[in-house]
Amino acid sequence: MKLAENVKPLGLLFLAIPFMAMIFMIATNHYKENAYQEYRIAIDGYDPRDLLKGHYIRFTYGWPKGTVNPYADNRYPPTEQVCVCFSGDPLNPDVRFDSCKGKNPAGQRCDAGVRVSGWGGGTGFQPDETLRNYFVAEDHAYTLEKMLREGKHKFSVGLVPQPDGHAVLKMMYVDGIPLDEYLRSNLIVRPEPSR
Amino acid sequence: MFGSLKRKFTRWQEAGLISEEQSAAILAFEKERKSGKLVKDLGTVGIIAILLGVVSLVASNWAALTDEIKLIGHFVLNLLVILVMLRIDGDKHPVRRDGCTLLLFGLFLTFIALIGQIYQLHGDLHMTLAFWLAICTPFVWYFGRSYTVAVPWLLVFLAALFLNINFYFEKDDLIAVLIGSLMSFYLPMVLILASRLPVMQVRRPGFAATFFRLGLTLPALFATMAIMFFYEADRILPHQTVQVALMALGLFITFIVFRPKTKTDEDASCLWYYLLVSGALIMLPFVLPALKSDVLSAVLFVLYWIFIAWVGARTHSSSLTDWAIRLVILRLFIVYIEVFGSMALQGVGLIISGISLLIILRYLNRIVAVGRKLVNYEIG
Repeated sequence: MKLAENVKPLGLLFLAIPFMAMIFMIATNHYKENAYQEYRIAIDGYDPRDLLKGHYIRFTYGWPKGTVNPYADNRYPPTEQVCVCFSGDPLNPDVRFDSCKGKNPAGQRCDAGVRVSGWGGGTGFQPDETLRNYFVAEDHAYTLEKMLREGKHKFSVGLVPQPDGHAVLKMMYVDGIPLDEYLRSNLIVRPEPSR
Repeated sequence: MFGSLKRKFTRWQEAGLISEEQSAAILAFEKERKSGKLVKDLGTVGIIAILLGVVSLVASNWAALTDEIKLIGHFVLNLLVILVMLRIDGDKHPVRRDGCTLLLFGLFLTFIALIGQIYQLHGDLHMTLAFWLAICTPFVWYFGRSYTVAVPWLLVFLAALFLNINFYFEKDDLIAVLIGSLMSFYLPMVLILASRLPVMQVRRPGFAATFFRLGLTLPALFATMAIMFFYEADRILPHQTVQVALMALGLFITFIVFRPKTKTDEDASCLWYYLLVSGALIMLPFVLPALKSDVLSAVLFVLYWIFIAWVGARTHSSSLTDWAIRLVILRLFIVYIEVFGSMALQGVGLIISGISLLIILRYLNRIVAVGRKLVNYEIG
């Protein structure tokens, strides 16, 4: 291909910078999603009046019953950073709250943990807000919000804990099927908003 | 089309305006120029139709596309724009080159947004803008020449700057006060000085002109905002001394750096006065933090904009003078509302207000003309 005469190597380098940045972004996020184990966690809509913010579905993680307040019984000082730790079957993991670093008194280590904060009981402790929003296409937002609120379908998300206590939100699942696939096969039609 | 042109030429020949040879030469030139235009136009329509078709196909099947296809598609689109851009000779077709640069600048933002959506990144706006600027600024500055590219780039730059300062620093932090003062007081100075760099004026005239215009506009904007502070009762801010010291230093630097080299250089001396007066007004509410005075605010506003009208007259910018005088008239009417506003609750007061407004609007141009004469008279 013939380039214009006044294009110099510096110009080509400057054009390559954003491309390299895009490739780096994609590669990093792809790696984060796939390098570590994904755990499937059930989710619930947390406020029917404010379920959608833009085209994001907002939710809370539904930790299994019996998951207790990590600070109960003075297990950890309030300043201690607590993680939600996953182990066992990735599709139905065992969940417990524990210190993010080191072993607990029972000798267990939080190998796949995500930082949480909150108050009250077990579900009061949630990861950072960025892990509680999931982007969906505008056409399907209303229908999905309604489905999540009604509770007839089982919603869950794939969470990939990273070694530093952060996590990547990989995929949302409806009845165990990845959301993209579910939308493609179920041809959701957007209903009129209720009056 | 050529028929009507021929008739015109015949009339011009009869009137002795052009010779027969000239008429024939112009007609031949126009015929040559127009030949193939229909084919070219139809070709353009065809290309646009194909592009629209592709866009609508992609849009209607967006949900059905896999993430990989979306990413690869966007990547290829950006690459195509780059290939087109690299084939355009920027010296011969600056508009096309700038159009492609701007398009590519925008496409990288949509690419970042797409990656963010696919990988659920939830990036904040301040981070996204900063990242976008960081990766695109080199090529935007390298390939962009005119206002078309300079204005959007500068707007994004300022937005990213203010959003990031706002995000990373608390309002009361010393560092925030320092940066805030630097931005409001020194930014115009930096923009004007940058626009004067020879490399900017020769290689990036569009950027230089945009920087200069913004550098000129900001002091007037900040000074007008600062004058409004006198309406507030309690303006004592944390680190006020530091802020005042920084502004005083800025004023001193302005005094030294922008001092006209020759007394006859009217534009340079006007710029110098303008920056000094605006700087002093920006500083004033911080020097007198306990003073609350609606009257002072109004008087300063009117005096400042009369001064701007005077600057406009001295630099032969009649539109600046006219607009400054209009602003003064508007401010005086607001003073009337502030003072006699309660009268407007009564019927008579309302009628008087309405009549005054109508008179001002009816005779606005004449008042402006009188104001312009007065300002010019002062100069004379």
